[in-house]
Order: sequence, then structure tokens, then C-alpha cells
Amino acid sequence: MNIFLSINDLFCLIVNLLTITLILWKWKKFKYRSVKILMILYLAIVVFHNLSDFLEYFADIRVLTAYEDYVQIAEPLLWGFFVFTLLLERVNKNLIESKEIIEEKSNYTDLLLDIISHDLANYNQVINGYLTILMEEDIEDEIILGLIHKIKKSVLNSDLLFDNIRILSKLEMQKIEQKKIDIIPILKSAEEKVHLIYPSVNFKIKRNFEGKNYYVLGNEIFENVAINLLTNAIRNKKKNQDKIIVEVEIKQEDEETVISLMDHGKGILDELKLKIFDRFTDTSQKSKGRGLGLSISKRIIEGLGGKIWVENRPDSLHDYSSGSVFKIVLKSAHSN
Amino acid sequence: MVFELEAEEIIQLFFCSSVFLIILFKYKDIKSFPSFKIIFSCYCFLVLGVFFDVLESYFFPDIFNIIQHISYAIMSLLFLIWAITVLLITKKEDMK
Repeated sequence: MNIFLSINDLFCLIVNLLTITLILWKWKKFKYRSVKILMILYLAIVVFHNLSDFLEYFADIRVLTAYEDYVQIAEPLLWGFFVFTLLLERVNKNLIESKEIIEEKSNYTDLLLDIISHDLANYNQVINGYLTILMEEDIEDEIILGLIHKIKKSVLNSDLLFDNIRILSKLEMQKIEQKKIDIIPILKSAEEKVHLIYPSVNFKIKRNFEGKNYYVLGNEIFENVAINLLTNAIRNKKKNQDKIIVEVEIKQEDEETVISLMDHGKGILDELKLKIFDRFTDTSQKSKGRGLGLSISKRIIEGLGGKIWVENRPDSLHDYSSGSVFKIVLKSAHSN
Repeated sequence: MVFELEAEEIIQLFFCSSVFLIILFKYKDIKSFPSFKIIFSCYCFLVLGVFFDVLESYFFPDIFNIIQHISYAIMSLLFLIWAITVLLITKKEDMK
């Protein structure tokens, strides 16, 4: 019996020594470093165990036996560490894979954004050019003229959309630079562009700041916020409202500048006041908008370190149907 | 031959079973490790060896002692097979 067991233990000893040699010899071929170290430690313990058993049979040497039991306890513990290391490796592998997938999707999104914001926008510019030429011709047929105006309006709207997408991609990449800007010329330019999009709409900005300058920390893309808010006022006008007047008020203090855009439209329900800045939320059920403009406006303002929200008009705080006030807060920049 | 049950053997069995349960519980997460079935079988034989190490103190000491030592031998052999398999897999992957 003893002979059989001693041969068995000698066999174990040789096999384990062989495994250690193999792992050490082909060290670089085994991928997981932490696993390799644990393996060697484990095998060293097993070899100690085998050696102790083997020596007992022949020479009755019990020098190692005293430690054998303690060493044996370490065996399952090392296995536990081994499993833990495997789990960690697994988590790391998953993280790397997820990162690769995100990068791949991000590249794809960038490509799509690039196509939309540049290539399609270029085609739009060409259509717009031809339409301008066409509008300069003496076209007497009112139906055709009406259609041309409708096409022009759609092209300008899609231009605005491409602009918004371009800004959105910049915001995603956090490329928006903050600089000192004057709000007044930007608001004027926005008003002119809205007139181009809605030439037949009786639209006007009522302002109280002629001849003044209001400098804030922002960017030229603030113009898109203004266009989005002004077009929103037009789209949400009351049914029989012929004239759309947006009152603009600017209050500048040392730290902050508050810009208010007040309209007399349908107004926004209290429960929708926060939601309208979310993508795909319409300010009213019958609105023509798709909710992208306000969502982008919020992103732009927040990207510039400001805030944007909507309230009821100050002259009818408890009645939303009298119109809305969009308030924007930006950091003030001093003229010097 | 009668073997005395030692406290260390019980502790070893306790640790072995705990780790065994953890492996079973997390099997799905770690099964993708190269040749995991071999290394898992290897651990099963360690558990078996420890189990018979405790059992030999109560019943059939000689037979269970042999089974224990054979389990350790199979475990060692499986470990070597696992190391060789992993090497072969790595070699194949490198060739690709």
C-alpha cells in the first residue's frame, strides 16, 4: 500500500514540477500575468505538499509535515484568489470591449453628423441659390409663386436644422469656445433670418435697448438659440393672431445677464414647462416643431455655463394661455 | 490504520467548498477563460481529495486515503494538461 501511495505521490511531484517548468519556460505565452503568478504559487504549495507526503513514506522524515496542514489550507484560498482574478480579468475584458463599441459607434455618429451638417447642407445651399434666382424672375402665376415661397421656407428651415445639428455635434465634442459677445447685433441678425424664413408672417421684435451694448460670455452660436426661440414664438401663435410681437428685455448685472423673450402665443402648460426642453416634446399638441430647437438651445446655453427656462408672462402669472417668457441667464462680460 | 481528524482538514474542506460554491455561482462569468472545463475539473478533484481526507477519519481509512491521493494525482495531471492546452490555443491564435 505504502509503495503504491509513494509512487502516486512521486508521480504528483514530477507532474507538478513539470507544470511549473512549463509555465516558467513559456511564461510570455500565458496571457494573464496575475493568473500566472497565482498558478506558480499554487503549484509551489502543491509541490511542498507532495514532497512532504513522499518523504514520509521512505525516510519517515517529518520535517515538512508540521507545516503541511497549514500549507494545505492555503490551497483552496489560492484557488479563491485565482477565481477572483479571473472575474477581474473578465470585467476588464468587458470594459475594453465596451470602450471599443462606444468608439466605433461614436465614429459612425461623427460620420453621419458630418454628412448631414456639411454635404446635405451644401446641397441645400445650391437649392436655395436656384430658388433666389427663380424668385428674381417675373413669375405671374400666383400658384407657382406661392409654391416657390413654400419651397424657400422649407429650405431655410432645413438650413436652420442643419445648423442645429452642426452645433449639436460641436457640443457633443465640447468644442464650443467661450468669448465676449455683444447680444444686440446677434439678436438683430436672428430677427432678419426669421424674417427670411417666414416672409409672410407679420413678426416684430419689440426692444428696450436701442443704442446700448450688452456683453456676455458666449459664442456666435447664441444666434441659433435666438432663432429657435423666435421661430418657436411664430409656430405657437394663437389661432387668430395676425401680428406676432416678441418683447425682448435685457437686465445686466455684474455677474449675470438675464435675457427675456416674451410672446403672446398659446403659452405652455405648467406640467410641460420643464419637458419642452427635452427632445421630441412639442410645446403644443398641434405644433409644427419637432422639439429639436428648444432641446439644442438648452444644450447650447448650458454649454456656455448659463441657464434657460420658461415662465408665464409677468402680467398673468397664473394664466399660461396669455403667452410665455423664455429666460436666459449668461455670465456677464465687461466691456473692457 | 485509523486517521485522526485534524482541525486544519475541516478548515481546508470549508474553504474548498466555499470556493467551489463561488465558482458555481459565477460559472457563467468565468467559463470563457481558456480551457476552463479542464481547470474546473482540476479543482473538482482537489475538492474530492480534501473531502476524502476528512472522510477517511470516519470510514474505510485505507480506501479513502488511496482515493484522496489518486484525486490529487488526477488534479496534478489535469493541471499539466490545462497548461499544455492553453499553450496550444495561444499558439493557434498567434498563427491566425
